[in-house]
Amino acid sequence: VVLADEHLQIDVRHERDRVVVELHGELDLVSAPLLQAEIENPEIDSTEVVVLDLQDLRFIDSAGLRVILATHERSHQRGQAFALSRGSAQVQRLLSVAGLDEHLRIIESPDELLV
Amino acid sequence: MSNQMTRDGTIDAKDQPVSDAGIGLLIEAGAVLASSLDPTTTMGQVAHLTVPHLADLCVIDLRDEEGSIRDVAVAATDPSIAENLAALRARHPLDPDGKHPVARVIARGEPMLLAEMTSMLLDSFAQGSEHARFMIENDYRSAVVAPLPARGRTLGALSVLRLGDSTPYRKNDLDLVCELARRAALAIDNARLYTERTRIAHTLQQALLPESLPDVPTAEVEARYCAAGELNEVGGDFYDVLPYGLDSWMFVIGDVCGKGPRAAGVTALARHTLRAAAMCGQSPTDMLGTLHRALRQQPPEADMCTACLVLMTRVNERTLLTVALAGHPPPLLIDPNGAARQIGRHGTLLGVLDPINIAEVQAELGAGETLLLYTDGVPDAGVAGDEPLGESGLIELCGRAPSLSLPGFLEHIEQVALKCAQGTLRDDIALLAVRALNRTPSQR
Repeated sequence: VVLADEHLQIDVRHERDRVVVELHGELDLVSAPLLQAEIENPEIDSTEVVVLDLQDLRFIDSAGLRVILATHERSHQRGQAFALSRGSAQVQRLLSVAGLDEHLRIIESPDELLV
Repeated sequence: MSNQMTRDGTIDAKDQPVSDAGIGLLIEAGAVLASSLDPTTTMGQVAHLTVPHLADLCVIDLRDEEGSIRDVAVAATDPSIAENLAALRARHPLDPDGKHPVARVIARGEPMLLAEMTSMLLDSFAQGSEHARFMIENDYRSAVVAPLPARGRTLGALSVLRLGDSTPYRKNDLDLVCELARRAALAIDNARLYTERTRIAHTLQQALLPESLPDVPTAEVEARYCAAGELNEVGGDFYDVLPYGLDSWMFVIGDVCGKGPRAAGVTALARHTLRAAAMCGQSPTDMLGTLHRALRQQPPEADMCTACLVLMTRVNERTLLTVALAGHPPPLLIDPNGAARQIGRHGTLLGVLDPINIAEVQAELGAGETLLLYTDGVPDAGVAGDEPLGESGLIELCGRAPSLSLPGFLEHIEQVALKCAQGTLRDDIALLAVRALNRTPSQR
């Protein structure tokens, strides 16, 4: 599945028991609803593991953080494991400033095994 | 009226169709009316549209909230007539309860055709002798006055007039004038609503920010705010400076996620919760905890907010700072040489996750040093696809602090941020700064 607007592209990859949602570009007030709509997809609910791959995400703002937190919350409610892979310096800075690096599982690569 | 507009805007001609020229005029009106959101501009454009094909003179009179007929737009083939009539209306406003056709049309909401106006008729509804003389001197001959209907009310009236030897209006001209008036009324109503909405947004925005900052002895305090987006959107950044007991002040800056009425509501909640918590003498950490709980109680969607609190206390000639952060970038402490360092430890943003983890960090503000609190809009200022200003860019800008006045320094940051954003900010910018004065004011 590929969704895109001017500055955010979302690729959703299903791999056996997990789904990897790759974000490319910028996740902000304008593009956040696009990700919000995508994570409400029932196909994502049925997997065991949800990974948000931020490796190619250049920019995020508080509206973007909110959607990531909503994804985390949704996975938690469904008993799914949830993790993020590292984003750009700006993305990592905001995650750290927001105190989310303590709450969310951050992995080095989306292929890292989640136990 | 014999001809009716159908729902899709075509003309259902029962007797006499609106002429091709009339349809052309309505099409042109559509384009003109869609182009402005300023009521005065819209009125002027409509009046000009009718001259000279439909009228030698066109007047639009609007009723205000009290019922007086005040706002007037006039257009005429002879500009001096338009000018003189506008001046005349200003000197002698129309009596809303009088006999003038405009007053009668506004009161009744029905159009009037005055096919042939005699001087006796003109005299009967003149607002005094000057008005009567004006109408007779300019050879008023024939007129159609149509109401301006919008949302069940009559906003005013559109009058078209022919002077001297021009062909008098006939019954079939009524439909065209009424249709034009209907379209103009919608455009004027929309423009008024837009203006009103912008005014409300502006008032609301003002209510979310302190009117003035309190006087802090031994320190200079300055703030700056720049909202992103349209004028009628309310931003989510806020700042405040609160007196906090003897010789202590609480500096507050925060950012509510989102824009518009919902964010404005959360911003008001955040600002007033922090004010109340400060009045109760809560520590910065406890104040943030109180705000977190208040946000958590807000159903149904998670409203989140970041905040930075700095408690400044004067103790024995020293200025001590206690910094607490909740999802907010740390403030910068700038020394007299312009070197800046971040103070504070990252803490959890408020309103979405439990438990929150916030730690207080102590520092001291020396003489001539500046403390700068800011929101993310500053380092994030940039255009899509390009590197934003960044925290490193902001730290670099702090090098200018010692050589600038405090207002000048904040203005400089704002200018650079706006430049990085190429004039269009994607997030609001709020800046709050405090500079310790040298110990003895006479040395300044």
